[in-house]
Amino acid sequence: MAVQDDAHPPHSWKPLSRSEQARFDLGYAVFNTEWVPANSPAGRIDGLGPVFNVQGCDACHNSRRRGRGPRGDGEAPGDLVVQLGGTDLYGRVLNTAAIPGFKPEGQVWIHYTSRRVRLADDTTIELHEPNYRIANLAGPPLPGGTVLSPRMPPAVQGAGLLELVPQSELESVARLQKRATRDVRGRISWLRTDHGRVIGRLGWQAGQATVIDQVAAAFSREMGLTNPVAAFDDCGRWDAACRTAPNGGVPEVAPDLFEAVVAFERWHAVPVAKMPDRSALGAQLFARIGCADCHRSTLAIDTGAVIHPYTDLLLHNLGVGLADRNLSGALIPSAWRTAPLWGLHASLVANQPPRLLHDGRARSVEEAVLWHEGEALRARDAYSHLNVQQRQSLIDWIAGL
Amino acid sequence: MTKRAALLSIYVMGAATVIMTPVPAEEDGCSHFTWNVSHERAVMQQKAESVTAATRPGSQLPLLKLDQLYELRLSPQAGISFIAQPAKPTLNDSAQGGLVRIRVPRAGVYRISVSSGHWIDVVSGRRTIKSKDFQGSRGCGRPHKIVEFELPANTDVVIQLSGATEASVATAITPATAAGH
Repeated sequence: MAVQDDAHPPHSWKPLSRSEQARFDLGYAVFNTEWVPANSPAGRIDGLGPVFNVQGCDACHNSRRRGRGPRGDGEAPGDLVVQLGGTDLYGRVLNTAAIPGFKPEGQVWIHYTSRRVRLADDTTIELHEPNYRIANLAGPPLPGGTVLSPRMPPAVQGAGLLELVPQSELESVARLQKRATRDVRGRISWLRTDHGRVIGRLGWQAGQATVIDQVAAAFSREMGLTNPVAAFDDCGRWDAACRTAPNGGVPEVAPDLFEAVVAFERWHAVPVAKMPDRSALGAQLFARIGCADCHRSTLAIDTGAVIHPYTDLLLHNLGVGLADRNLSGALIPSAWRTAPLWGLHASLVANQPPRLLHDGRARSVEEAVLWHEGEALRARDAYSHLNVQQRQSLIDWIAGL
Repeated sequence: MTKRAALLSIYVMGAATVIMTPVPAEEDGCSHFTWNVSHERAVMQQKAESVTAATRPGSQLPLLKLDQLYELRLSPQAGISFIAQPAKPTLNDSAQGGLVRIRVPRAGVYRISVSSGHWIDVVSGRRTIKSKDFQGSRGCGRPHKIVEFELPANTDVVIQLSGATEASVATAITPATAAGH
């Protein structure tokens, strides 16, 4: 299929009043807007950087879908953001672009190595494992203990509905997993904030509580834009020039534009190609082999309604294969939120090979399945025992969600 | 070996590593295209003809030729009457846009290459022709972005640029087949 849906218009999941529709439309326009460096010219859309990754939300989120991700060996594309852990030398994100007069913080290069998986019927599947190389750092070298966390931009669709899943529902799902399975032990992502403990429901590791948090972090860390929630750019500790660079206003993203983007993302519906046929063979296999233990079809939300996100929003250990590493190569234990599968078909329609999982390493649904270990090892093993027709039925069904 | 291990063997061909090294000199900003863009890059090195893009539809729209580099002078987007609303609306603030037209002798896939991040809509009559694919290369100015469209033969189609702040944009239109596709 072609990229014909690239500019498909967005829809909201709830009826919008006239004023809400105006905010939604304004948010969509801000989402698509490319920001410019401070005073070039001064206005509502200046203040980019001085270091950044991309110039606008859409540049990463690919028409509100998952990012396109890496195509293969080479320099990482702008939409694969590498977060840095264990150091503040370069801020939270390694910014790989800069406005004129400034240097990017560094570059990220990827080289894939091959990892072969043999299924029960002797079919061999080749997985690609990414190896990251940090080059051309603008400042001091990174310590060996620096954790590299490459992250693909997730789809923004449906995030506002995931925010509405109550704590009681998450606790109920966690209890059910403990009771009904030997090895699946989902746990709520509790985040410490200035206002106490809150539940993280968003992001690859459920590290963010709300759409507001996500939007604020993306503006400040990935675009270098201060906003009503994040008062500072993501400058490195050593980089005084970054911290004293001219700004595009205080904050750079004006409150009305910020709120409009939040409203747009919060109300953006998940695209539905067709209602999933739960009697289909693929759906039955999805449940039978254990995928549905975590990728839960149904969750209740605060309004009393139910949604069908194919996630439990809980954190799971998925084994060492997916774990982040530090610069010394050591594995960092990583817990992953079950990725919502709703709207997946919209990310697979493009005339592009899909790039799935947190760093886009999986080039197909099957590869993504085969990267699962840890709590999902039983389900992956069960997948490996399916015959080729069953595997195809399951993959086709997942790809249609 | 357990049954599981026997049935699901994993061979690690290379250990995951992360290292810091300088970048080889040959890796320039234009190396990110995965298409063959040699033809587009060659055209974009030509001497450019300066053209002022129109601000409203009509018979006065500049007609661009294939395989020719143009420097399009754009106008503030807020004052432009687009034939079709840009498929990706943006804030008008500082954004520049304009309209030109193209007529190709043979139906097929053509590439519109620009030196900026402008959103490109192609309109035939009042119908927007959806893009087939696009690529961009951060750090590469000419071209910075290439979008492919399937164009009809011997029909005027309008190219609308919108959504970026550059007031002057190097633009070239080339047959996709020129790249050996």
